Amino acid sequence: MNATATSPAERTWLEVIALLVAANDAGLRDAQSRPQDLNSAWGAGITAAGAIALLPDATARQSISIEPAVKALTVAELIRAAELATRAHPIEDFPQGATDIIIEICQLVAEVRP
Amino acid sequence: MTIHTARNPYRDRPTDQRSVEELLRDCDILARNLLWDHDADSNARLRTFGEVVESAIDLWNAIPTQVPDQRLDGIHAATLALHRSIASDRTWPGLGPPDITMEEISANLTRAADLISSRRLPGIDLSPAGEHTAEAMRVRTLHILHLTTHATMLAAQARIKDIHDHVPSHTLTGQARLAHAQRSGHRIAAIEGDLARLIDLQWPTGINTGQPPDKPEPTRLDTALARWDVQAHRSLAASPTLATMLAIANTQADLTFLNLHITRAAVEDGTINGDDYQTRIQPALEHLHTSWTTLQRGFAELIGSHREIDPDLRLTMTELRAAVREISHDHANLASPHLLAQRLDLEHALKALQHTTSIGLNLAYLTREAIDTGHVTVAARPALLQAMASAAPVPDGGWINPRDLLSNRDVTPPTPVNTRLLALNANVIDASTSADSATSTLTPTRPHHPPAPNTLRPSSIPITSPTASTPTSSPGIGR
Repeated sequence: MNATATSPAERTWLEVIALLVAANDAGLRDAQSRPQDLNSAWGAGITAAGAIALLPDATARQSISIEPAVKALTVAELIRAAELATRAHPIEDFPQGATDIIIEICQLVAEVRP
Repeated sequence: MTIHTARNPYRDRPTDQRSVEELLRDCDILARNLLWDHDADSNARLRTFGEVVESAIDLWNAIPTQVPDQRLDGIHAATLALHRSIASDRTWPGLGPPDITMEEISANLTRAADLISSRRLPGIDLSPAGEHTAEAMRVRTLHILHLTTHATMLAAQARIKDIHDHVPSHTLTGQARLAHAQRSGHRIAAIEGDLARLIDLQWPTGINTGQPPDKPEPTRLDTALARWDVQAHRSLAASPTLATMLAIANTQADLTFLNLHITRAAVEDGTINGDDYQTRIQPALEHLHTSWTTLQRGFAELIGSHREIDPDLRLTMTELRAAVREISHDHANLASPHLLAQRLDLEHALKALQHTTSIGLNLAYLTREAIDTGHVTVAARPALLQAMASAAPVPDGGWINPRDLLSNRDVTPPTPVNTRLLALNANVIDASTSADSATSTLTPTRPHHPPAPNTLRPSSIPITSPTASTPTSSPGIGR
C-alpha cells in the first residue's frame, strides 16, 4: 500500500476498500467459471462505494494498491479478507457509519459461504 | 326587431368545450393519423416529438395519484437526451416548421392537463371509481405517446432510407449523416420499447367494461428497476464521472446476466417460444453482457482519485442488487431453471428485464455524450500507459504533464484513451440495439395469466438504509 492516511484505522479502512474493489474485479475475471459470484462481486463494488463515502475527501482520494497475490484470490476469499481486516480495530476507530458497512460486508460473507 | 351589438372578440372567441375524455380520444385519432400518413415530413416529426412527450408528461403528472408516479421519468430523460443530440447536429432535422398533427396532439394533452389541474382539489382521496378513471387516463396517455413515438420512429426509418438512396455513402458527409440518423433512430426505438413495456406491465384489466381494474402490483424487481432507470439517468447527468459510469456499467452487466439467466429458464420451462433462443437471443445477450463488462473494465483501469458516487445511486443499486439476488440465487448458487420457474412469473420478469436493455442503451448514449464533451477525467498513470501502447503519434508536449504523472492526478484523457473509451461504449450501444431487437421476438407459448395479486410481493419495501434492503429468503416475484 502507498497510502498516507492519518491513522492506522483509516489505513485499514482503505485496505478494506481495496479488497472490496478487488472482489468486484474478481467477479468480472471469474465470470465464466463462477457466474454465481457475479452478484456478490457487484455487491462488493457497491459496499466499496459506501466505504469510500465515509472517509474525508483527502483520505478517500489516496491511491491504494494490494499485492498481486491477494488480487488473485476469489470473490469469496476477498470478501472474507475484507471482513477480517475490519476486525483489526475497535469500531469507534473507524469512520462514523462503519457499522452499516461492516453489516453489508458480513452479509456478503454469508452470501458467498458454500 | 334586430338588435345589433358590437362584437366582443374575447367574449365571442370560441372556447374548447371538450372534456378530458374527448381530448384524449381526439389525441388517439390524431396519433393514428400520424401512422397512416406516409408522406409526412420526417424532419417536422422529429422536431415536434419532444413537445408531445413534454405535454404527455404534464398530463401524466396532473392525473391524481396517491404517490407521485415517476414511471415516465426515464422516458422524459431519454427524450431530453435525444433532443440535445439532435439539437447539436444540424443535419437532421435542423430548423423548420413543426408537424401540425403532433402539435395538435400536444395542445390537446396540455389542455387535458390544465383541465384536470384546475378542477382537482389537492389532498382529497379518490373514490374507487375515481381511481379507476385515473388509471384509465394513464393507460390512454401511454397509448397516445406510444403511437406518436412509433410514428416518429417511422420518420427516422424514412430518413435513414432517404440517406441510403440519395447521399453517397462513401463520402464523410454521407457517413456522418447516416450515423446521426441511425443513432437517433436507436434512441427513439429505445423510448418506444420502454413505452411498450410500460403499457404491457401496467395495463389494467376490465378498463372498458366498467369493472374495477385488477391492477397488477409492481413487484420488488419492477420497482427497483424503475428507480434504477430514474436514478442512473439523474446521477449520470449531475455527475458524469468515471466512478458513476463504472457503477452503471457494473449494474447493467449484472442485469444483463440476470436477463440471460431468466430467459434460459423461460425457454427450458416452455414459458416462451425458444425457436430463436440458441441462434439469436442467447448470443445477443451474451454479447451484450461481454460489452458491458469490457466497458466496466475499461473504466476500472482508468479510475483515479474521484471514486465517490452519488449516495442515492448507491442506495438504488443496493436495493436493485437485493431484488435481483432473491430471484437469481439459491443460497450461494444460481437458482436452477426449475426453481426459477417455480419461484417466478417468468413472463412478467422477462418483460421487466427486457426493459433493462433499453435503459442501458439510453445510459450508454448519455455516457458517450459525457466522454465526447470532455467531462470525464482519468488517472494520469494508467492513461499514459494506454496512450503509449497506442499507435498514435506522441504530441510535442507528451501525453501527460509530468507533474500530473508524479502525483497520478486526475487528467483529461489523452486522445487515444478517449478514443478507446468511446469504442468500448459504442460496442455497448451496438450490442444493446441487437439484444433489444433479438429479445423482442420472444413470444409466450400460452396466454399470460398473471399470478393473483396477493402472491406478488408489493413494491412497498422501503429504502431506508442500505442494510435495510438486503435480500430476504422470500422470493420477490412469486407464483
